[in-house]
Amino acid sequence: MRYLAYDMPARVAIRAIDSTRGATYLAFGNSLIEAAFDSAAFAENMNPEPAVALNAGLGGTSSVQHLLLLREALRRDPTIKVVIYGFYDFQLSETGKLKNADLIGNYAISYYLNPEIALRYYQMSPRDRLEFEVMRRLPMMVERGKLWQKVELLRRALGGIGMPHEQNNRFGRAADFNLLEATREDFVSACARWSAPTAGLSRPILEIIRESQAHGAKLVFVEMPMPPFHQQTYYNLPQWSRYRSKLRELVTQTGSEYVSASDWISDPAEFVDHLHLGQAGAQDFTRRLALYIRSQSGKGSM
Amino acid sequence: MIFNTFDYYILFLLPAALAFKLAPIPWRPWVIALSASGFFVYFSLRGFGGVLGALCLAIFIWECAVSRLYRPGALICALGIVQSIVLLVIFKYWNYFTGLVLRGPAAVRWHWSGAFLPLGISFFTFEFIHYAVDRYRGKTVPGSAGEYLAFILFFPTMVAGPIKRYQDFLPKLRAADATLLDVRVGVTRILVGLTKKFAIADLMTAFTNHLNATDIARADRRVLPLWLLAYGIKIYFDFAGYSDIAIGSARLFGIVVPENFDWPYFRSNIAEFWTYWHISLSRWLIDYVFIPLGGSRVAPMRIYANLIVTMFVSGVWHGAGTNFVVWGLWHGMLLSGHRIWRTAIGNPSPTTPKLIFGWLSTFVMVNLGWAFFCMDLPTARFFLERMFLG
Amino acid sequence: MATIIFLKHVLDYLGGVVDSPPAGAPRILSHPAFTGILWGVLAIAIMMFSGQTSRFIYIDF
Repeated sequence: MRYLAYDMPARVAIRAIDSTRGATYLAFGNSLIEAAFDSAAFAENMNPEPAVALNAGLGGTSSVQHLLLLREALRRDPTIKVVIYGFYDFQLSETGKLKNADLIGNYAISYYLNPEIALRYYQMSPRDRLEFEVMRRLPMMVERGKLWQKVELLRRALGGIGMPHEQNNRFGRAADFNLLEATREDFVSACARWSAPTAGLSRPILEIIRESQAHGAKLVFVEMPMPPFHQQTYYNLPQWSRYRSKLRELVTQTGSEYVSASDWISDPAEFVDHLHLGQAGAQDFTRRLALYIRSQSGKGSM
Repeated sequence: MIFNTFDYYILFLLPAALAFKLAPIPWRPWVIALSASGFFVYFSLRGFGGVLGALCLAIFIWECAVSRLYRPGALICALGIVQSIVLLVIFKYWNYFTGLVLRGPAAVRWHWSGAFLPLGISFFTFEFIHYAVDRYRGKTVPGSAGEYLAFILFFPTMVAGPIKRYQDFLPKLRAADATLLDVRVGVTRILVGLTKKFAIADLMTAFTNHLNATDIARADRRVLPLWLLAYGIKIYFDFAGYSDIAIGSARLFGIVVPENFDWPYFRSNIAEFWTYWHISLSRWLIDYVFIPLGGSRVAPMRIYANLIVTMFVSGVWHGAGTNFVVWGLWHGMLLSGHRIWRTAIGNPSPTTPKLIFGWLSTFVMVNLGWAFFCMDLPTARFFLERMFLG
Repeated sequence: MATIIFLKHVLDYLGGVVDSPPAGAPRILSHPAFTGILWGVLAIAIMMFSGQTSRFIYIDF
């Protein structure tokens, strides 16, 4: 089963982390950073400072999986000095309450990379915890996403017969990413919920901060570039501004950096769907990020 | 869906079947009644009406109490029929009827916003009615309260049939003793049912998810017959798969329940189709609707009317919507038309070309009817217009 | 026609509708090992196709 799952994105990402040596900059998070961070362009724009950049972003993951990948990277590369975490909307605040049945695809790394972390952070019911413990010992169940992937591709091929062609990109169907955007009402109510005085950073995010600091690395939270539609519909709202202010305050209190890059890319043509940058957009973003980090290094904060 | 959950097998089927096997014979009906009560409450709480749905377990207890009063020829049996119909009207058809009859503020006032369907209501009410009628007719013995509870609560068939008959079930319940053969056949049947459901029925949803006005308008119209055919395949494998799991589950108790499908799409006329499609429902409709209306022992025009009325009832039973009524009437007319045709041509010996023609025309007519079953009337009409007229 | 009926009965046996294969069917169909292989094939098919209603379809792969 491990052989069949060899080319699953999660296993490829872990092998990339394990085979990289001497990395000084680590970018991680979900598919937004995976698409947007160009390691080669980053290293080039950090000249003359020698930089080895590693993109450990992985699509279809949450902060729990990001924590797992961060731990793996920091364990493998003691030379990492700056950790760049890309996020959007409420990812720094939302706490996960997943069921075991949700741990498929790239979420499945929770079964084999420090499984105790999934149990700690996912608030699973006793029944789900038992199911988790049983399933993580069965490789066929852990990697069921590999089998389901083939069936899903078959379904999409069948469903596409006689229908207008659907736009796809490296992450899947472009139209599916519309579904990841909340309705405006839900977005506003989430802003209010996470701006409340008692709301803070989620537990996995706090652990990411702690792990980075224990390693001696500077953590930079990057609010990822969003297409003009997302900006106008959501990020221009006063409720978002209030939430962002609170988020910035929470992050900087921990000694980490907060970079608001959501409006760095204003040309919608640089996005391949509602969330992800294309190649040109990624190069633009990476260049600006490198310039920012160089300027902060010059001030001595990195 | 319940049959695709681990909970069904781990918490209910396997423990109940084992307990049934190990329990002393007098206790066995109560093993079924208690485990099925737990099944009903558990899955009600998880998605069939919540707490209110779970409380509907009281319906079975009430039904059991009332059933103890049934005697051959006694009017009290009519109460059993009436209360079952009332249950269906309230839970299944209330909002449909009030929406149909009332308008404006009155419709809003009488709309039941928290409407839910108790688990298996379409099936257990039909078993209640069957028992009441057959007790009235003296066609079945009462059995004990525990045995009747085991019959109406038998959880493998509670959710989606097959619709059982008490006089068939009771001797099997009393003699049940699962053997290795029962286990082998039962497990095989369950696995086959799950395969039909997942590998075929669910795969067809890649096509049938397009059966909406937006996609029908966007599609190349040559693909529309494929979508309709896919629906016909999906509904068969879904329902047949469910029946397989139910029958296989019952077999683990050593109880053989009636078959529900026997290659219906390979039948050469519509009457045969209905003999072999959802067999337990067809037999119920014949015994408790068609025959009481006079069946086929009346004048021809009455026979055709009886067929249409029976299929109208079938359509209404399948769903609370005008499209289901149309679907039922479609099949009523097909059955009447078939009867007229057979009366006109007599009973000639079948030849291969006739069988092929009969099979093809039955298959096409049945699949055309699915358009009314799976879409509301305006969408079905739009679909058929696009498919035939462009 | 006799062949079609025979095939139908074989398929009914494989599907668990009848308890024993029709007369003239290969004896291996009755062997427990064959039943085990059949169960294995069905279980794999179930596992492969059971993810179609999960949230997985929206996750990148």
